[in-house]
Amino acid sequence: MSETTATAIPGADLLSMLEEAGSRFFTGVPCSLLTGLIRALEDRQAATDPGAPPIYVASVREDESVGLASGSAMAGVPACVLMQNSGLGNCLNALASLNAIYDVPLVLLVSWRGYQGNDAPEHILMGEAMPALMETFGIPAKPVEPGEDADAVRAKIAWVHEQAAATRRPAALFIRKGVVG
Amino acid sequence: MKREEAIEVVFGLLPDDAACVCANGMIGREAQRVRDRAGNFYMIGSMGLAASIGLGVAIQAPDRRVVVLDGDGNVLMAMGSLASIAALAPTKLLHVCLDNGEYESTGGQTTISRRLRLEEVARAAGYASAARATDPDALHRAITAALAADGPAFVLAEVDGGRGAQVPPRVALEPPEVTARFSAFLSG
Repeated sequence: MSETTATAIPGADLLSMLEEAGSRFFTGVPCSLLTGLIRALEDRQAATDPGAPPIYVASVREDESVGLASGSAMAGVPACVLMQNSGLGNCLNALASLNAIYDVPLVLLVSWRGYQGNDAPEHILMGEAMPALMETFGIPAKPVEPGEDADAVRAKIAWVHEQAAATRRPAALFIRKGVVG
Repeated sequence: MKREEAIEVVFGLLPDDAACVCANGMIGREAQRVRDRAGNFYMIGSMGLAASIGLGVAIQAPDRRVVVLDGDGNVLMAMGSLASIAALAPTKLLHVCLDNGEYESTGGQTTISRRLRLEEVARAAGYASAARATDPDALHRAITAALAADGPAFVLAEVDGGRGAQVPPRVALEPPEVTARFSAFLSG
């Protein structure tokens, strides 16, 4: 399947899809695979009234991102956390001992570094383990593949929001290289 | 001072509409024993995250007083969140650190907090104010001052370790009940 930028979804379009599906606040730690989306968020944040609540907060660690997003969700503002899958290791305890037991829904967008072993060595193990890890932690997840058209991606974004809202737990999309333009 | 004395001082000065995110371990348990408030969120796991949960509430509810009732072990575990709070600078966030110098709920093992000044870390990160209190009167003055000025403010209260102290009961509410009550409180 093609991984050219021609099939990638522009970050601003992804942001619109996420907002249409219900996310109102975004936080996380960047991944190069999510660059376009984070740029769209930074652009929106730059255009936001400094006195208004931020749409995007650059967090310093993924467990902190989960805490921020959970506080936001409990204050009535549905939240989405963006991270590289390496950051999953930093926030598994937060997902297990906060969200999983307190009924705090979150949408997780997790980049899939190390997909099929084709990546730098530090990404290989997590890239292989991630799907089973999420299953073990009871977090429903679907991959978003490069080359999927906007309607297919929009449907998966709707699905992950519906999952989170219905279960009041985290739900995830794995974002592969080439999805975000 | 005793931890419960410190919490009594804090709760005695808070407005009724203040949200209070209580750290795990003995802190949430003691807060519940001192005064179970609908605005209290009792974190029982996710060590380190009281500050980030409080920050998440504070940025979405900027007009509401938000207090993080934290501990030295928690602050040390997530020191990066001092930077995040300072960077986002929510003016109505009050970060209280009950520093007993130990991981009390795991058996009283020593933390490193007696070898550094956490309030100076908060000050260096960029909190609007930072103070240390070693007795209830000083804590009363520090909290009063923090509530009267724009924050974020950090107040460290030196409290006794757990040796010989009565262990407060576990949080009585189930976690989903804590969330539901806290969310309803915040929407009111």
